[in-house]
Amino acid sequence: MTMAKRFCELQAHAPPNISGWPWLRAFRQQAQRAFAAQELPTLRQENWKYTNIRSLSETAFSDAPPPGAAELAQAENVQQTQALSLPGYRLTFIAGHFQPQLSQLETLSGAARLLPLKQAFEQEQALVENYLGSAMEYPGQPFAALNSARLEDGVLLYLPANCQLSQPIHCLFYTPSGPHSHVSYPRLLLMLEPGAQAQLIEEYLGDPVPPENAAAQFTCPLSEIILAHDAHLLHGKVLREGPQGHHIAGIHVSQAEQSHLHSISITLGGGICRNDLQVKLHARGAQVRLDGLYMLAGRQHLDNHLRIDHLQAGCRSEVLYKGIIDDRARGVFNGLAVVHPQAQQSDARQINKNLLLSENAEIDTKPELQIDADDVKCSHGATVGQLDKDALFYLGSRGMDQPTARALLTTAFALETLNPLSQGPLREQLAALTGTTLTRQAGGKPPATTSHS
Amino acid sequence: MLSIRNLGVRIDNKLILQGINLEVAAGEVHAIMGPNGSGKSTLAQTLAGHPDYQVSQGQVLYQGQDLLSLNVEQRAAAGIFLAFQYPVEIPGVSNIQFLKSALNCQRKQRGEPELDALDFITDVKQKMRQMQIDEALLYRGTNEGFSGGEKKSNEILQLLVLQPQLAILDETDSGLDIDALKRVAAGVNAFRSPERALILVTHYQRLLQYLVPDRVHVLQNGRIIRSGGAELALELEQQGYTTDTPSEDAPTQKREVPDDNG
Repeated sequence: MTMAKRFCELQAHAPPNISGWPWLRAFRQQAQRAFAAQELPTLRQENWKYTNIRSLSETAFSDAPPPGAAELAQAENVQQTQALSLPGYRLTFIAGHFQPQLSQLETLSGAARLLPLKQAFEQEQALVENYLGSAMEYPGQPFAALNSARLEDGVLLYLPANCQLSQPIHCLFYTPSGPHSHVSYPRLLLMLEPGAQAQLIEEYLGDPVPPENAAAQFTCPLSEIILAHDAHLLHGKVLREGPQGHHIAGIHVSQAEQSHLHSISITLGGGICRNDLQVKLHARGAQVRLDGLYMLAGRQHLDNHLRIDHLQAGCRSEVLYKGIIDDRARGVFNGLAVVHPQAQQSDARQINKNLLLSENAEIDTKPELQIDADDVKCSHGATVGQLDKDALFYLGSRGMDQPTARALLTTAFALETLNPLSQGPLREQLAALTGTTLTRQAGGKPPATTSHS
Repeated sequence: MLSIRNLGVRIDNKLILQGINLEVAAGEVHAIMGPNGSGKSTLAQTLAGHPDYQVSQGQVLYQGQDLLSLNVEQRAAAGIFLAFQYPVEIPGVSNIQFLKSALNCQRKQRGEPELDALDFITDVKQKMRQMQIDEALLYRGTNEGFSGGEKKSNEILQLLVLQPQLAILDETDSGLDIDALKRVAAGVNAFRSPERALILVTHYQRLLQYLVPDRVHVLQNGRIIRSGGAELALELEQQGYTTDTPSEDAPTQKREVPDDNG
């Protein structure tokens, strides 16, 4: 049964506790129509040219049931041993289901809200109804429509004017492996009013070494981020699904005047993975910095699709994505900066750099600029290469053995993407995670993987 | 310490060195001079173990062992150090991390324990003061954005920290102003001892005013065409390489009685 068919069938019995609200039912039905109006993407579409999701669309995924005791224990273990350990707030989900006992939440003061989305449907209906779907568009985004049609739970963050959270918010989404193929559709809705500030990290974790009979899992999250005047958000995403964990995600951002977004996206593991990051700079002085790091091994496939729209004058965007690709893994980078006619004095920079560590590794990189204004500063570039031979010889001539020299150079290459992060637990832990992943790659022990071609 | 016998080296199938003979004893300083393209840097890179240089003939013995059978990091651990003509920039690997990693890799190869972190940093900082290198450079990417003088001083800092037996300095004097040249020379002089040897590869005589060689060899077209004492460098400075005529005092010279210049 195909994903599209399965999806339509499941619509017949939408969860009753949600279908009760006419506005939400209407929202989901509209999304369903938008999804049904689009074909699932194929390689014939330019935007999906390098990412084949046929095996996904031919798998019958059913909605993930709430976790049993075994999954709960496993999640607790994963949270303690694998997940980032950050101070502050934490919301933990197992296969899309919120787990209060694994979370750390406290009521925020005043009008600020941080709570599971399902709870927000009841308690903060006006907020949700007002903002849900406001930072996204369905055309060309079938998985955003799919998420919208199927959303059940996730995260709501609302910060009123000048509310500044000093502690990060850690959203952990754990997908247990098992003999059945399940799908979940986490939805994050983040709204920062003028002058508000926050840090939010989405972390997607699977079992790094799943059991032999593990079936494919699918996570299809969507994050909507709305930044008002002078709001500042640090948004992190760490993707470490297991080899059977497929992941097609959207992050859609709408930015007002003088707002700042710093996004850091780190992908270390997964099956077929895709991140669609769409940023709209709506007003003068909006700034976005998108940093990304991907380290792929085995037969992983990662497609990073970025699009930044400079809609008004005086906005700035900066992109630095770096990849280290080993074994038979394949990376795709497609970054498009669109400078609209009225967006004079735009500053748009884009760089994608890649290291290929094996002959069978592949990267398809395409940084693009589309400029319809004349007074702009834009640049883009991409590199693909191996480790610098002169540097390897230099390190060797000082006594470093090849594995040490290679590890040092690869780590240095990778860590450049973390430089804009200020010192603190997040940066330390991302650096440590990067180091561990590289050591594992250098040791020739990538996680067990299976073919998905 | 080092015995080079009839060494021939190719790169990209082009013969660069055509039968080099050279004997360097512990405690000695040898200068290798010659015009551009004579093969000086090829000799330096070959001794350090650059994989692109193919040895087509001959033999190199270092402390009695077959040097050419060792790879680059084994040679470093055995005590060979090449100060690069163009030190490589390594962004993202801080100078301190570089030094520590290099030293500990060498110690590991020699079966020695890792150095205590505090002892190490104290030693490095003392040597930086000696070389008048700004301490801030410790935490910058290795050679990244360093000036020409800083890069060369940094090579000598590595020499002082790593404490090799045989140092080969490839055009370490090029691009240095007189103050930097004096600092570099002082650093190298501090390295000298009766147990250690130095090979200076250079175009010019001026470094040799501060680092007086025991022997000077003239390399041309991949062969040593003349050898002599320190005075030969002065003569070359005045007359240039082209006016030289091969003397009988060439090409193989073995020092029978090394000077004691420790």
